[in-house]
Order: sequence, then structure tokens, then C-alpha cells
Amino acid sequence: MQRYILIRIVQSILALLVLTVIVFSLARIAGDPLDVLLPLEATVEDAERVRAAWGLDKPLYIQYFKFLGNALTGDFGESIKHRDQQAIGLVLDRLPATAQLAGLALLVATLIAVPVGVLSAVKKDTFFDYAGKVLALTGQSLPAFWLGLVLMWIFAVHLELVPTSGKSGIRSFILPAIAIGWFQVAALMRLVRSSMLDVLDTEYVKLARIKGVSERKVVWKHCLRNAAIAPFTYFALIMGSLMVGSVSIEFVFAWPGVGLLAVDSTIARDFPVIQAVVIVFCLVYITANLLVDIAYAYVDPRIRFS
Amino acid sequence: MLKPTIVLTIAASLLLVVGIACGGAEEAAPAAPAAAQPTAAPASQQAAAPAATEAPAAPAPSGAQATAVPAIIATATPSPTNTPSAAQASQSVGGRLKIAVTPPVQELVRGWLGTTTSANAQVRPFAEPLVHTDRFDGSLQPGLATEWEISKPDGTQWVFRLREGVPFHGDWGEFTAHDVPHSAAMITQEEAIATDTGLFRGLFGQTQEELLENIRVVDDYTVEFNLLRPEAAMDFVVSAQQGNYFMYSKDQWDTEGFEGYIAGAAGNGPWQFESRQLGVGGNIVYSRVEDHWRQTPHWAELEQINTPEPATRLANLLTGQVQIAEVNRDLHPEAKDGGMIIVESELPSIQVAFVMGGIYSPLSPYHDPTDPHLDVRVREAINRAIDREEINKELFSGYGSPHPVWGFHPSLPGWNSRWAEEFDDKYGFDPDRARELIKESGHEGYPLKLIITQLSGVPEMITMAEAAFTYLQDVGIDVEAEEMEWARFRADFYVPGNTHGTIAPIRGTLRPAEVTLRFYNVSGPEGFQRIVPDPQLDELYAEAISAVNPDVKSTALRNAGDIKFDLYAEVPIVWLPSQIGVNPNEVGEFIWPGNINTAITHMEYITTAQ
Repeated sequence: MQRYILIRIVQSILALLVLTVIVFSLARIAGDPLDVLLPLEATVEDAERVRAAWGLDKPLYIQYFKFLGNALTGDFGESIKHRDQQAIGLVLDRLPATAQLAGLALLVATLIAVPVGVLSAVKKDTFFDYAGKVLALTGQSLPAFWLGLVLMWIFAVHLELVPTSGKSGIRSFILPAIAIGWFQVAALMRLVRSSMLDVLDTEYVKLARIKGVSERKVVWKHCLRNAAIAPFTYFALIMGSLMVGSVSIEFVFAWPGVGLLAVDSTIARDFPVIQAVVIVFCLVYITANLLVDIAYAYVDPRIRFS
Repeated sequence: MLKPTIVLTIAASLLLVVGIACGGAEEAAPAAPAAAQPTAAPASQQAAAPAATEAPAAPAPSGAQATAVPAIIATATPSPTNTPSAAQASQSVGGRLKIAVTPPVQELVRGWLGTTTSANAQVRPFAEPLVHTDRFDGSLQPGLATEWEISKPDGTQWVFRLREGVPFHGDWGEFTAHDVPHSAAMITQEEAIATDTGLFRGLFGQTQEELLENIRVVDDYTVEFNLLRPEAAMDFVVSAQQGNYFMYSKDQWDTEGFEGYIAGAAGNGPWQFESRQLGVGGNIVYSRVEDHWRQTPHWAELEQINTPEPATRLANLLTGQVQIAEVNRDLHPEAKDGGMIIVESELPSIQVAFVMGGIYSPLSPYHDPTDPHLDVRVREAINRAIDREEINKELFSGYGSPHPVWGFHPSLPGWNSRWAEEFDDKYGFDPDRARELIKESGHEGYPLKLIITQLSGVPEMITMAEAAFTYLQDVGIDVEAEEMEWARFRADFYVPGNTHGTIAPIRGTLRPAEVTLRFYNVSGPEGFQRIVPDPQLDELYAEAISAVNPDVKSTALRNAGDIKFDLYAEVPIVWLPSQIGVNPNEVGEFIWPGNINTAITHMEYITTAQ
């Protein structure tokens, strides 16, 4: 078990190292920050002066090793757009808002997907099954951006039940969480449904029914527990994609999260912030996957002994 | 067997979320001073104060500095700005005035780290330039400087007298002449990216030593600018209209250094900077300064909220989440239906045009005599191919006003009424004539790359360029359109010699014509913005910027405008006002000039609804 965990950790570190090269290169392919940040009328001389002052005139390999060396100590450098602000500080400042929103969106997705998935499996090929599929697929087909605006228009502008935008108390979480969470319902619901169908067809379920266990108990206690393994694995991926993929919703709801910081930094070619955001996101992904792998190994001896 | 799995799942997820959430409390440590240049010790105080030789002259409209030689050209005479309007009398103080704004390109409280527009939106509420801009007509008015004069007839020396008894926020003492060179040192330092950093370095010198030598503190309330070249509009240069030359406290710098400025630079404006959350969804908050020397705000606090999505800004306004919001023109009907009003700036704010590439001066190494854009018939054809009325009606909702010559406006020196009178005849939509001209020129079907790009302040720019594609194809030009973000366009085409065979949309602000000439129409760094159909423009520009006599200057500018107009130098489209959605139930009067680089300014004068 310890060897397994050690191997996974080493793999994660290697993945991160490779990632630093990719992120560093891709960020620079995006273009020159001075093209965005300098005034329209700045001359070539102005650009050269500022480039030198910001250290952007150094050869790329020097910039990379400097970045790598500093990154190992958690220092991603100073933001180019927000001068005198540490890139990692900007990311960590906004990470809680994104994590909270992603957590709530995951809850929304789970609360919709699990009952609907179970119901679809139990009532296979009936109206409930079809209705469940439509509900789930609707969430995936509607662009989150558009859905967010429609929800805002109905529930914030016309019904005045929740704030239109910003992060200002629990009510402000509701619309963005639904807009993001609904998108994940389809995949999660289908996963729950197919897992449930497999389990419902097993011998021990038939035995439970023969023994007279109530249908409710069979489904929600015996079947769901066994069917939950696959969706559980998926949770880690969902959590990651919810954090990374909340950009459009953060845009619509002016949510002070990391997603928008990433977009904003990319547009501004703010290399230090782009690098900090991507590496922090990757750390979240890798950690989540590592935890799931460890949990898997813990519950399934076949994995840890293979 | 399964129970521990589920427990583990939940625990892992919770740990992840909590771990992440807790990480955010960490505050990034401020960086060590980078290119910090300490300001020099006070300069000699031996020079005699300049003599006042004439009675005060009335300030001219925006940028039109009526400069006599040598004459005091402004005094502390109460201006329209400083006189409360009827609506401002007996006003109650409102709570927090919230404004939903498009996130600025740069978020800053130090003016030298961004463009004029960004600085005016965020710095100007708490920091003041030397010369104030009137909110009604955009004219230059006494502010921190109460009077000023050209003290050498050749325009290389100016003297400014400063207001006494103006305190900096946060007990940083009184504003004095020592803060003037200090603030100039800030805006000209190596890493400064202010719009006017280059201009100031050209006026005062490349090094801090030169700068401190050339800005001489005569006494605590008098400062003398010794310029490396004549500048007849120095009062404009040190106003917020030119750029980011705001006054910062030297005492704060000497005591706290960069770290103090990072935490919150002290200014002496009507609002005091309180806090800021960076990024989209972030905000900047100011509090009212009681008994301010110029204008005490009518609201206790001011908050600008960065809200990128136009529909969300409108929703915020309609639901009362904010009292004022930037509302895109295409959403104005919805705003009005919801009981909001659209308020326009007093002056036009943005000029929109297309610029044709390849029009390098014959003296330029990039001059290519075969470039079709060097043929005036082609330039006229392009101008006649575009239906400005339709663009104004369909894209700008009819808000646009005529724009005969790029860089010139009736409120600015150098305007020639002939251009407006002849505009329809010379530039009117006439695709048949355009086709004939292209044919006559021998450039029928010439390949033209139309850049489709967008600049802030004109969300309709992409659609406008798409419309131009159709117009230009229709008159026999082989147009190839390429859409690209502005930064890529700049990287690819603001390069010497790279503009042949291109046309691109552009926008500018309302500023003195010589500024536009400097950036676009004279020989110089051969980037994209070099449209010199006649080298005589170089001479006229030189004459304009060195003229201290306003008539001479105006004549030079008018002659330059004549060349641009008659030779179809650009493809001017419209002038647009700055506009904003306001909730009339909460906000009373809001008057701002709009000529300060499209920014919403003068927020200290916004009254509460009665």
C-alpha cells in the first residue's frame, strides 16, 4: 500500500514538472504582454524600456529556470498586469470563491443527478426514465453562459429573489451554482443510472427481493451503495472541472473567482499569474485524483496488490 | 465494505474544498521596490516668482489654451465647476454610490502603471492633477494650480502657482511644490507605462536627474517647468485630459516608500481611497472627504464594481444593486423600459475611423510608390464606399455626430467649418463614384486586408468592420477580412513597414489636434500609425507645437487639417458621446465632460435624487 502511494506521488511530481514546461511555453505563445498593456500610442522605444524594466528581455531559458527555481519555493513572481502584486497571492485570494462555488455546484449536481439516475434505472424505459434523460441532457445542451443570464433575468430581475451578481452572502451562490451544477447533471446521472442497472441485475438484489426486503430499502440501501463507486470516482473529476470550467459563469455573475482571473491573465499575457493559476489548478486535480486512487486502493484490495 | 468508501469519499472531498478555501487567507507580501527612484532634495528657491502681467483670461474650451506671451492664463476665479448648480444646493448625503463598470485594462492606484483611461477612472477620484477640467465644457480650470504662465516667449519655460492649504489624505501634510517633481519622477520612471510617460520624458529628460533639474521648486507654492522643447499647451499636459500626472505625496514616499504607495497612495481629491479587490468581480472603494477644498461629494462612499458582462451590468441597474451602470448602446431600450435614464457626456468622447495602411511619407524608407493607398483616388473611393449614415443609424443607434477629419472637432483649435460644409460633397456615400475612382486609378480589384478587431469603448467596432467589408467589396476591391484580437493586431502591424495593403478600425479620444497629429500624421517611429499623405504635415505639426501664440497655432493646425481633409488621409466615421445608465430614483444630477479619455469622471458632483 505504501509503495503504491509513493509511486503515485512520484508520478504526480513528474507530471507537475512536465506541466511547468508546457505552461511556460504556452503562456508565451499567447503573445507579448506589452501589446495589451501599453497605451495605444506607445512607441517602440517605450516598449523596449518597459520590457527591460520588467525583465521580459531576458532569453527564454533564463526566464524558465528562474521561474522554476522560484516556483519550487511557492514564488511565481510578480503579476505583470497588477504590478507589485504576487501572482500566487492573487490566485489564493480568489481560490476560496471558486472552491465554494464549485462545492455548491457539485452539491446541486448530486442532488439532481442521484435521485434522477436512480429513478431512471428503477423505472427503465418508462416516462420517468425519458423525463430524467431530458432533464439531464437539457442541462448539458444549454450553454452555461446563456442559462446563467436567463436565470438571472427571471429570478433576480423579475422575481427579485436573489442578487443579480457578485458574491454577497449565501443567496448570491444560488444562481451561479445551479447554472454550473446543472451542466454536470447529465454525465453524473447517466453514470448513476448505468451503475444502478448493473447492480439491480445482480443475484444478491434478487435474493433480497425474494426475502421480502422492501423495494425502497433494496434500491436506496443495497443497490445505491454498491452503485456509488463509479460516480464517486467521477466526483474528483467533476470537482476539478467545476473549478476550472466556471469561467463563463464567473463572467456572467461577476464572481470574483480564479476562472476569470485565468482568462483575464491570458488576455493580458500576464505570464506569472497564468503559470500560478494553471499550476494551482493542476495541483487541485492531481491531489483530488491521488486521494481517490488512495481511497480506491484502500477499499479495493485488487488495486493495491496489482 | 462500502461504508468506509463513502465516508472516505466525503472526507476527501471536504478536505479538498476546505483546504482550498483556507488557502486564500494568505496575503501576498509586497514586492521589493523595483525601479524606485527617490526624488531629489528641494531645488534652489532663489528664483523670483513670475510677474503677473495681465488680467485673467477666460479659459478656452477643451485643449484650446488661450496662451498670451507671457501672460497669466488662469487664475483662481470661480469656474462653472466650482459653482454649485441649483440641483446641488441643499443636498442630502447619500449612502454608498455604486457604479457597475467594465473592468479597466489596468487596475491601479498608482497612475503611472496604466493608460490615461484606466487612471482617470480609478486614480482621479482620489488624486488631483495640477489643472482641473470643467465638467460642463471640458475647459481647463484652476485646480491645485491656481494660475500659470509661459515665462519664456519660446514656450520652453512655464511657471505654475499652487493652491495653499490643500491637505493630502491620511495626514500626509500639505500639498506643496515639492510634490510636483516627485510626482513627475513617478510617471517617468523606467517601468512606467502611462500614456504620457514618453511625452514627459521628452519634455523633462530621460533620467531622473534631468527631470529634477528641469522641474524647479521656486518656493513652496511655485514651481517652474524648464522644458527640453517648446510646449505651448503645458497646462493641458498637466491636466487629467493629457494623462496620468496626478499629484502624490512626497512625504508619504519618503516615509513609507513603495510599500506605502502599494497599500494606498495618498492623494488630495474629493474621495479618499479605501480598499480594492483586484480582478473581474472585484471593486474599488472610496470614502468622501469632508469639506474638500474643491468639491465635497454628495455620497458617503463611492464603489466601482468590475462587471464584465453588459447584460449583468444592466440587470444590476434595474434591480437597484447599483445606481449607475455602463450600459451598452444596444441595451438602452431595455434600460429605458425599466425606468432608467441614459445620460450623455457634455462633449463627444470617442472618434471612430478606419485607417488605411501604407501611407508612409515619401521620405520614409518604407514608402512604396506602388501602394494603392498612396493614390488619392483610391482613398477617396474608400471614403465614398462607406455609408456612414447607415452605420450611425444601425450600429450606433443614431448617437453619432459628423466627423469630417480624424483628430479635429469644432470645440478644438484648428477647426475649419469648411470641412463640415463640404463633407457630404466630398465624402458622401456614393458607390458608383467609388467604383469609377478605383477604375480610374488602375487599382481595380487590388487586394486589401481588412482587420476586424475591437478596442474598448466601442463594442460595435467588429460589426462596423464587417459592414465595411461589404461596402468595399461592392466597389471592386478584393477584400480579405481577418479577425484578430487587438493585441495580435498590434504585435503584427505596429511594426515598421508592415501596414501596406491593410485597413483597420481605430478609435481615439477628444484631445487637441496636435496630439492626434503626433501619434498618427507625422513622420517618426514608423509603426502602424503613420499616415503622412503629404510631408508638409511634419512642418505644420512642428509649427503648431512650438507656437505660443494661439492664432499661429490654430492656423498651423487648420492647415494640417485641410491637407488631411482634402487628401482623404483617413476614413473618419463618427464622433460618439460617452453614455451611462442612471437610476433617476436615486441619482439626481450627473454632469461630466466626456473628453477625458472616455472615462467617467467628476463623480464628486453626482447628486442624490431629491
